Amino acid sequence: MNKYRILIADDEPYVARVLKLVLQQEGYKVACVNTGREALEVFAGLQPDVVVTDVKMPHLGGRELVEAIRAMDDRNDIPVVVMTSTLESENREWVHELGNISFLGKPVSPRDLVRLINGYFLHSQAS
Amino acid sequence: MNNNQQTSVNIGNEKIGIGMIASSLVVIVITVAVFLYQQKNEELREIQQQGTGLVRLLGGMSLEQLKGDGGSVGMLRVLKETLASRHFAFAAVMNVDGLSLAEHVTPGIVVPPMVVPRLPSQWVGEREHSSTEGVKIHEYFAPIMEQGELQAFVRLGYLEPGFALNTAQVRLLAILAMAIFMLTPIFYFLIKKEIKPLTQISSQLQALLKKTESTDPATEAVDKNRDFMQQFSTVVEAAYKHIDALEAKQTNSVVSSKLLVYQKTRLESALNALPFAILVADESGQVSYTSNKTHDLLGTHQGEVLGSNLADFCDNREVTEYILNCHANSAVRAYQREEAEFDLPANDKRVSISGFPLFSQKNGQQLLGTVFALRDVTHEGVELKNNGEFIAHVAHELKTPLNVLFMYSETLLDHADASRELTIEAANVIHDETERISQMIDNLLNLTMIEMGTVAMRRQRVKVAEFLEDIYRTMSRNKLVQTMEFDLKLDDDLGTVQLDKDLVRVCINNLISNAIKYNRPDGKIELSAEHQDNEIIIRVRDTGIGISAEDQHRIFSKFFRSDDAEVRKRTGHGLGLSLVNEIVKLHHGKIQLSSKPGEGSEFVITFNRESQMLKDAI
Repeated sequence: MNKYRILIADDEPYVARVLKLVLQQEGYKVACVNTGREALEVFAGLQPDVVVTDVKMPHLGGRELVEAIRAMDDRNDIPVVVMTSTLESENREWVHELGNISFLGKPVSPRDLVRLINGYFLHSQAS
Repeated sequence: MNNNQQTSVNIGNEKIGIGMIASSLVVIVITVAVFLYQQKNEELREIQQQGTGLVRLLGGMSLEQLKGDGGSVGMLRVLKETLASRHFAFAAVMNVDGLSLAEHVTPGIVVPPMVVPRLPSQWVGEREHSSTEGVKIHEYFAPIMEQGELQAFVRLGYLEPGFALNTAQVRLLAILAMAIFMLTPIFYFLIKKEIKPLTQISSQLQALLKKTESTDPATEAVDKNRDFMQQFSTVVEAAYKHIDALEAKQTNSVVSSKLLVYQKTRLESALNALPFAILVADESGQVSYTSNKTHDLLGTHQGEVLGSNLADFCDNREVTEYILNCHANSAVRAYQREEAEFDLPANDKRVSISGFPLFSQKNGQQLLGTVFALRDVTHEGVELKNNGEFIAHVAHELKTPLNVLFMYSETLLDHADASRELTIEAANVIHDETERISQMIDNLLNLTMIEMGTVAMRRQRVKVAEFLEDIYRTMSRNKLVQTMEFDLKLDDDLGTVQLDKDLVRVCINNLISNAIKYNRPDGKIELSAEHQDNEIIIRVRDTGIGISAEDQHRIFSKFFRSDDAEVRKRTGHGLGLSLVNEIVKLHHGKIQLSSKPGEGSEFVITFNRESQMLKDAI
């Protein structure tokens, strides 16, 4: 069990569900929402350490969600994992601009996600 | 008609009568003239014979004998007295110097002077001269010889006989004239009898010309003319037949021209029904045909375009240039087919124009002109774009459940020691998602087939109650339904309706699936059917999350999924309702939706029990 909290935003219920399951197995505290707007609503209360988001979602997409987070006063630099089926090059500009973003191509391997997130915290624990 | 003919025949008879009277008069006049002429000639000849004879006789006498001497009466005197001839003019003796020795003259006549002829051959002869009153006188003369010497001339003069009739002659002529007159009516009746068949022929010909009822010309024919009349009848009959044949020909040509008009109309409607506009130009570049769509596309008018030159009919310069170029190329057979697209800002359209050279069907080498096919391609770009979006959408919708399958299967692989809870959940998700993919592919196939028109409708008479009960039973097996209240309410005597059972089953299943999916836990679902007049009304009602007014407009669109968070919590592919809509349309039915967000939705499908048109026809 660790103390890290993860927020997952994906409009596909089963995707969010399986990611939640595997991350819970790793001991993370996981919250799932279906839209970017919901993610922003719960963000302040949840105080997540990592945000995992889909790009295409109703009511605020992934890019708008990250922009909103980066515009916040507090915790605006938290790492974000963006899951996308579109090409990385299409998103490179805004990803570069907004900073501290990792990409996972769809279909997202739960194994890869766990490794990526574990990497953040190993790094932060080491530092 | 017959009266008129009779009148004309009578008029003909009168004419003949008058003609005959006139001709008999002419005959009488000619007879009299000939008679008089003959008589005059006869008298002239008598005078001549008498004159020449007498003058020779007198020439043989002595001068004294002729003149008379003293107590004896001269021969001349005797002659004058004895010649009772009314034509006697004078008798005279003249010496060689031309002096009159003796003369006896009819009063009023002067003996004309005479030059003594020199040659002895000219001493005997005759001559003519006119008296002072203008009366012609025939003179005969001979010499009087005494001992071989010419002593004198004896001359006898006669007046030219005139035209004169005596009483006896007048009587004779009167009898002659009478006889001729008497003959006239006889001739008249004879002629009339002879021309009777001719008048019949005339009336026959008139009838023929006017094409009146045929009368048998032979019936009243005079025996003598029977053969002729029969021949004539044959000719008339042949003429009738010829006229009939001509009339039949005319009728045929009228019928075939009507047929041609009908075929032309049919061909024109076929051309008008084509999805593209047709414009035909003849060899000289004149527009000879346009289908209706041409004018919609180019913004022209039928009356203005027909007969106008290709260079003038359209306001758009680019189009005109292209069309003229195509037409010029047709003439030199430079191409098989050309195509180009043009924007028409005037009527906000984009048109594709193809030109084809038009060759004669009989002689493939003979150019008849150019055919242009014009197609409205304004929306084609949009459709292609939609098509691209559609494929992207399908790919995305198919990929989503596959992603889920991938993720769950990997999770199961990575967690061989996974909890039973996780394993069961993964198995359930995999089951659901494969079903979702399968259902989506079915829907997609059905939808595509319906849209492409390749779906084979198998309409059959379906008993509505049985059909819905069967659907109800099948859907009741769904696990989620078992947590809800699912009712079936059917009117009595629903009867039958013509449906494709398989398609309508998909349609109602989709509605019930949605009613389940978007319902709240322990919600209600009701499938019901009723009949009104000629309609069967099927309702699927739920107590689910409902549909916003905004979404209600778009809910039947392909791949539409509401952005509503409650909707997004549930899996879906946005094809179910659009397929429902297509199937209902395919059955010429109606679908209506009423819904309130948070309270539930009701879909109402109405099918016609039978086509009203069919009913009317029966």
